[in-house]
Amino acid sequence: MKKNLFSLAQINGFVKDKQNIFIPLFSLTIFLISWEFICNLELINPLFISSPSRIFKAAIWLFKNGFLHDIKVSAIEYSLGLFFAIILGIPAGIYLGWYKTLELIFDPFITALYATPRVALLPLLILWLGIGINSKIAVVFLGCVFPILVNVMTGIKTVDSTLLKCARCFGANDFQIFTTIAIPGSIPFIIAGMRLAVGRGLVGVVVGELVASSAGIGHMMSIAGATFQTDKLFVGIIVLALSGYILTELLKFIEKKFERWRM
Amino acid sequence: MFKLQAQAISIEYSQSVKNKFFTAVDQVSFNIKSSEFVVIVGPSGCGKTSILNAIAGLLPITSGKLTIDDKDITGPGRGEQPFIPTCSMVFQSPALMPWRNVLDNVSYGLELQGYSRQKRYQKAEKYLHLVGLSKFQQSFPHQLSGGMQQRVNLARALTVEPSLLLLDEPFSALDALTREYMQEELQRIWLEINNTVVYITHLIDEAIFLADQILVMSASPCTVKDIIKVDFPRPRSLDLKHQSEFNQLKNQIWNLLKTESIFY
Ligand SMILES: Nc1ncnc2c1ncn2[C@@H]1O[C@H](COP(=O)(O)OP(=O)(O)OP(=O)(O)O)[C@@H](O)[C@H]1O
Ligand SMILES: [Mg+2]
Repeated sequence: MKKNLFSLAQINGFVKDKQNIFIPLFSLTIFLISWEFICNLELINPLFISSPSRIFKAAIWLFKNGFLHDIKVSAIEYSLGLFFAIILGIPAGIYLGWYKTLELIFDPFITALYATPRVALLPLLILWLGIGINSKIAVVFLGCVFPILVNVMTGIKTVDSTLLKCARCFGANDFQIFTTIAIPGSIPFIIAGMRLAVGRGLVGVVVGELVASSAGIGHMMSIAGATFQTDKLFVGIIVLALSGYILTELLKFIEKKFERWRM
Repeated sequence: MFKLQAQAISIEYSQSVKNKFFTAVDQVSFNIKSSEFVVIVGPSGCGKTSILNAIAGLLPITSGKLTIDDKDITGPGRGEQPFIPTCSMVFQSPALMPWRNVLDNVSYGLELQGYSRQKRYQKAEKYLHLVGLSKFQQSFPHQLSGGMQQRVNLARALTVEPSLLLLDEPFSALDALTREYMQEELQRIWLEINNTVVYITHLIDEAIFLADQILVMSASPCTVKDIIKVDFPRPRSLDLKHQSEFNQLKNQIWNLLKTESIFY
């Protein structure tokens, strides 16, 4: 059969060639081997770029010496911050999108806080909440809540007005309009907000821990950085990169579930 | 007794300027009998949609009297329990819910009224059959063509079995050929259910083809310029559009509307 170059399924990215798994795997292997090679030949000082084998050793050492605890602390900070952002951001977004007066009341604060880099608030948060996990939860929360809130608000506000009229004609009450039109209609917006939030939360955790902390991935990295332990720094970077990757894939998966909810 | 009665109704919109009102509809009166197909034609922006919204109870009238079955229209949710909608609306855009399949879209009105799933699907299937979309029950709106979506929209309005059906330029987004086909379809469906219809259009020949009675409106503010009876026998075929009586009527309405054009 002739291969259709522009089949709709391919454009939508539904079809994945099996080969496609091997190409990135191959490029990654080449990259790691050359990295190791450059270090072994001492072309560049390993103090700057480390090497895969050194990183591996450092990782083993770290995991034997309490790195899991650091990861746990960061994970708790991150998930609690994100959790509070979701349970507050979604209902608040719905209310603000639905009631114009509420939006007008809160608009200046939301706009100001959304525009401020959240990490700029860190010194203040540390002053208030200490260098423990609370200040990190707060900074993750602040990073996550606004993208979610603003997106949900937009979702509620852009509900199809013709559809609203149609529902009203059928005698729908406010609650029914809420559950059958407003909420499902804003699902794509909620997901879009979540996608922004997931990234910002990660930034919040790391920067928060780098600035001042007593445990966490960022804490380990700030010590390793100050004592020129490049290998450990790379372990931290890799753990963070992996977390970001897993979270993004998870969201993509959720997004696919709601694919047909989009226009 | 009339199904729908408007006695000198006016509709005003408040404008951003303080204490200024814009009169969209001015002292309009008309009577519509039960099972009558009434078409409203008029220049763009004259206030046709406003009238339809007022009939649906979505927009308050500022003076006059507007009644369905001799009862004042007070709002879309009339507080009666269980609420039985007397009218349903079909708009220019299909406005379907993209996250629901065709069957769930069509049975939406009954769902709001608390019908059981089985009952509402039964009725939805009946009206989907009537609009010729039985095979597409499980499809999602984005999988349908524009004409099919508009037929789903029509089926959604019909499923609640309204005694009054309001259509606001339902076929204006369709191409000329589909449009003619849909006009014929609508006539066929209407002859089957025989409820009262108020239909808004820009096209004079569409109006004549469908109507028992045409209300010709003047430019803003909207007043009734003339009421024209159309009594070609039904079912009408599209060939009617080439007959001389049809064209005479078309010229008559055209002459009425010509002087109302904003470009005139
Ligand atoms: N929400 C509103 N607020 C203020 N003025 C409005 C509003 N809706 C409509 N109008 C005004 O009322 C007039 C009539 O509008 P309407 O939508 O009823 O016209 P129409 O006859 O349906 O036009 P068209 O054929 O283009 O759909 C217009 O001049 C419009 O500017
Ligand atoms: Mg209109």
